Amino acid sequence: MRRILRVDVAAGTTAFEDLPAEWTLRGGRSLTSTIVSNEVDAAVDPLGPDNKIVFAPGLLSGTTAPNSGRLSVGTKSPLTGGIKEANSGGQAAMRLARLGVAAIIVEGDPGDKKWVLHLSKDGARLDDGAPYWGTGNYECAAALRAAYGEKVATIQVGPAGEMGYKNSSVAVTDPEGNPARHAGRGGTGAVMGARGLKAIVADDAGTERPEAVDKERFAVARKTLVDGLKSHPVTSQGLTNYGTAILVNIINEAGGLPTHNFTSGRFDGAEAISGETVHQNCEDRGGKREHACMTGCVIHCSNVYNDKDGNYVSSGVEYETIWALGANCDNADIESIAQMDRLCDDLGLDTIEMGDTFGVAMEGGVLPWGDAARMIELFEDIRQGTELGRKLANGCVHAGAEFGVTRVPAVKGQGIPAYDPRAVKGIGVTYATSTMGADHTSGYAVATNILKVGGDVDPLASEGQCPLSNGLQQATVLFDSAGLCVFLAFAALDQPDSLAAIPELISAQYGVPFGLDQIGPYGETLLSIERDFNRRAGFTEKDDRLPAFFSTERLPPHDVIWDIPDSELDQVCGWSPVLEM
Amino acid sequence: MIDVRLFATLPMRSTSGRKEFALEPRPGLTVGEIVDAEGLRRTDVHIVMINGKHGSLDSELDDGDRLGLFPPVGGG
Repeated sequence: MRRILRVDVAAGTTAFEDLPAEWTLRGGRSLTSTIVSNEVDAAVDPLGPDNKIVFAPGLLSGTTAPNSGRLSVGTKSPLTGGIKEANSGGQAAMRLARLGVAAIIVEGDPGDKKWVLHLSKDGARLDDGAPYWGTGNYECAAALRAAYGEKVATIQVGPAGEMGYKNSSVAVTDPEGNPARHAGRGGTGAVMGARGLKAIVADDAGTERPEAVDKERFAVARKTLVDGLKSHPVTSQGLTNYGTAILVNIINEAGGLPTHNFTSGRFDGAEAISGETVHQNCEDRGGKREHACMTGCVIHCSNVYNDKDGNYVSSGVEYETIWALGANCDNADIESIAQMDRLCDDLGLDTIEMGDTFGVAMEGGVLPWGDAARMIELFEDIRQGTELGRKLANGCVHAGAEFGVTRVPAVKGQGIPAYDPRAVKGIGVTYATSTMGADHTSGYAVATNILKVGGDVDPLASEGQCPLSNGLQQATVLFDSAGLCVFLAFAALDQPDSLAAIPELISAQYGVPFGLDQIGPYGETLLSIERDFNRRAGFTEKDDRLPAFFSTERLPPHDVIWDIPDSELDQVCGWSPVLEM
Repeated sequence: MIDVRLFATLPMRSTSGRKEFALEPRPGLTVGEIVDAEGLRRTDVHIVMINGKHGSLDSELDDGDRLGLFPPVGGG
């Protein structure tokens, strides 16, 4: 029986509620967005007392479905001012699912109180969080394990979230207990911090897996999906051997690697920060070139990166981070990038937003291009909350205003990730039209534009990009709601049986009809809820646009501009009649 | 000259093990012939980039071209 846990941080109380029957097929993002839309006034101050933060494991989390442990974190975003769902790997979602928790809703004005929420088979309670307040994520995770047991999974906010920075993540511990997985985007950490909630501790000792209503159908569908993942070359070899950083070279070759604050699509130092280099360093230094961020992952795209002396630095030095703190800042020093990845994880900062911010700060003359040593120093300013640190910790739009820079790569206030939309136009449509602000994961058209997975749409052409992005955005809603890692899509987009296995797993788990033909409508329903929230929060079609410089400044080497007509973007977002698919 | 770059697992699978090399151009030279000459199976190559744009094993190469060859890769 899935239940909702309501946590009142003003009164210090917790209470379980039944999950409404009509929400049987709501989980992960579809549950967090529905709750936020129903319960949070779209006009509230995101960091004020009336905002709520919602945590939800996916519909398949806790089951034996592969890669099903994504945790959704939903709220009104302090970065975008719109609805937010950021999701993370790690161990917490499957623990919460085993505890029968469909969602945790955290609400109320905590005053000066600080809390740790503890969940176990015996129930939920709020403990004093003051002893942990002020600690970095690594120290906090270790202290929570010492206090509550080595096997607990934790969900935490770092100093960035405590201090209310708009760039702040929610950290989730991985199988080794490292707080290296993050619901990174949109400033969810600041909302958790504003609720006075330092951490959630999930102890699933003595619990059972959520059982499928139709165990046989579930087992068949599970085998189909696992076999598909183990046979597709991207999910069984490419991602497994090299991790996401393998993209550095190919996106650079394609002329779409944003460099020097989005002024070039090629970076001279790409090889030094490539997946091949990371792979070699992991192997040579006793790290791991394959690592699973959650139990039950069959892809293993993460890695364990050690320094030259063999000491652990960070777990999952990934493509987006390498691009953000590397190419975008003219920094070709992979050691400094790994170190900054660790600092971001410890402080609870989103690496993408941080890299966009440094790019803007470098353009504004705050620090020299490529000065990795100075970048590292500035994390201490962020930790201490100095004036300069605060200017750097509230996202790239804030930094642009502070430093007088107008080339600011952001949509709806959120920094653009690691693909230049002029050279990879399908992902540009996703950046412009996503309910989340510039978010590559919400409709990963790079797969079809560049990687030739799920078809082939020319990345430089303006035709075909809107239907591509629209279809991917709808399908992604189901992945995000099921708790499935979006990398399953690399197999599912090419293998009809693997794709069909996903709704089949949900159908078998809950004993209700759910098939392939419902993926699109399921996504569209949820996207409509999210768009409606954003409209009530004041967004108009003008917010579904890329920054003007993409349409006026040509990007080398292809010498291209952004040229998708606004009228087509408006069809994706429902501002004008729905796009014919 | 033609600038040839092999990425990810491809150098390890090729006979020469080279990651990057320059090749004398000749009329009608195709990507597939370069793949063959490096001892790679054509099915090992999933993505062909010529001067930053997608090509195919049948694409012909000219003097000054930059060729990138990739196995299946993904990320995000």
